[in-house]
Amino acid sequence: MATRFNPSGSVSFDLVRGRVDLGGEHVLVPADALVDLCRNAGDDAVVDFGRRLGTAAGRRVAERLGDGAQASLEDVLEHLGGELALLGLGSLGLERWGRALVLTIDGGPFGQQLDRLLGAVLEGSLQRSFGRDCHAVKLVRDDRQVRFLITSASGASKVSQWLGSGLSYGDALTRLQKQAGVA
Amino acid sequence: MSTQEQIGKLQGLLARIQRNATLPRGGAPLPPPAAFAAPAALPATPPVAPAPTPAPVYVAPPPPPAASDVDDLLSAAPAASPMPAEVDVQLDSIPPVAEKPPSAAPEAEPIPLVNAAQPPAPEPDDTFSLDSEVSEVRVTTATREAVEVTVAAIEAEAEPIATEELSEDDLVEVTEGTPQPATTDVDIDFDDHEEQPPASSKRQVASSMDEALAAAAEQLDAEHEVPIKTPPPESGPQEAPLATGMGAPAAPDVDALLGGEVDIPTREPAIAAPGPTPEQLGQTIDLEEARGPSLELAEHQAQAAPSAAPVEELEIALPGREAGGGYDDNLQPPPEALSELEAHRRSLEDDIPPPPESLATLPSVQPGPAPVEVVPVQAAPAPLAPEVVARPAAMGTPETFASVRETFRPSSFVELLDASLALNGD
Repeated sequence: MATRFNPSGSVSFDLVRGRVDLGGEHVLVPADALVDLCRNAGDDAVVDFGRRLGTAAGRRVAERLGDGAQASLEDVLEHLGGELALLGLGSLGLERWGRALVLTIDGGPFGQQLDRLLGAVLEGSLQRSFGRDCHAVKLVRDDRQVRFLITSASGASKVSQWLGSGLSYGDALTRLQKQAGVA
Repeated sequence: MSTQEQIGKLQGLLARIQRNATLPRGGAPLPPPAAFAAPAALPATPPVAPAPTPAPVYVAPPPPPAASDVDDLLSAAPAASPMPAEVDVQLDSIPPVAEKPPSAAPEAEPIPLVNAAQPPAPEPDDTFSLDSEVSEVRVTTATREAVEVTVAAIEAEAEPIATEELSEDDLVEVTEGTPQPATTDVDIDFDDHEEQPPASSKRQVASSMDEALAAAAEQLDAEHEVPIKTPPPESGPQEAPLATGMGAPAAPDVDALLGGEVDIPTREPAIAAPGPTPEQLGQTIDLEEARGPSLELAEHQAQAAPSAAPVEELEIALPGREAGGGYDDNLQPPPEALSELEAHRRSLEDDIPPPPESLATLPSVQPGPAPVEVVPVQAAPAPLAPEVVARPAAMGTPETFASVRETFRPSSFVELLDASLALNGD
């Protein structure tokens, strides 16, 4: 049984030295400035940047959870969500569509932009926490929430192709499970 | 204003009079009084002085400045000059005529329009503080009589043109301040003379009332001559010919009508009064009273039994209830039913409650007489409610029949993650 997420002392501000410590030195950066930077950096650089952020968060989650293989859905959601909240990346949610794992983020700092950055953060955190190579595919986005499917590389490419052809994300998830012989 | 200007103004006035004289005389209404130019300063000039000629001259009283101004303007009226202000002077404000001294001029002598030997213009009098800004005076006459006098004066003074007619403004200019007695050139006889018919008129004057009535009757008959034949429909509505013979209405008695008041009937006699006519009243016969015993109407007796409803035609009255289930008393039951009737009779006897065990006291309820053994034959009763077949209770529990679909309930996050990664779409 994992302990509850306790963010006390997670962030320390050394005002004398002018530093912010969150399991390492961090920098408070305006969100819009980061958006402009990521726009000019390119997709691969944004993905790498996001994976770096997620890896750091996953490492802290793994430290708290201990044996991650026995962690329940609620435990992982609580700790991983807590870490993303400390980073200021929004509120994490979890959905299960049959056998498909869907993670949602509400109230991200970037509005309807840089969803690829958020997906990369999720990929890096899950890879670092549970040792699985996974891909986050954006299913749908509204003004408040963005929804990602966590799947393999081949599954991510097919779902992205279906979504690009106009298929709804619900139908895409159903088709994905039908082709896998599950549904 | 200089003398030359005054002379020029008078010449212009005469030219306008001559121009108007060429126009045909008519009864058109006089134009409204027009404004004419006046000297810049309107002095309260004294009345026109008597002319040196022996003709008597109108002597205006000393009076209101407006009257004097008009005389002055008449004597010196150059062409209208545009000035900034206008002053309307109503002649109604003139004091009463009685206050003025009557003119000494004889009636035969017209008042000269222009006095050639007019004395020099008096000095302007600023008594009324009329400065040079008041340059135009609009005079309005309110008396018709002054106009007539003025016409005579103008005719006498101007050229001998008989058809001279002055406009309203001209007349005012001349005669203002000289209200004359009501004398008119045109005599309007307001006496109500009877219009005489022309010589060619066919009207004849009746010498007496009888002749007039007879002539009216003839005219009426002549007007009522209508064609006997029915005109074509396109000829419009036609008057129907008068009825003749027995149906014709009686001719009115003219002499009788003349003796008293004449009532003009507003409607046809047949429609107006349904009662007898005055002629018929004299021929009334009084009927004798009926002979024999007098009859009186008795009160209406309420009908004891309601009569059967009238059967309408093409309807058949259904038989009554008594004809439905009754049997003749002499009718005997069939022999095969005797055993059943006997059994039924015995069962009824068994239903009679036994007498009370205690014979000392009578029961409060005495058994009634034995019922009459009449078995009414009734038709089969109609079903009042549907027959309900109760559903037997369900056996077992509902969850026994639940879906057999396989459910995926991951016990850990890693299990769900692995299952999701397994969905590769192959």
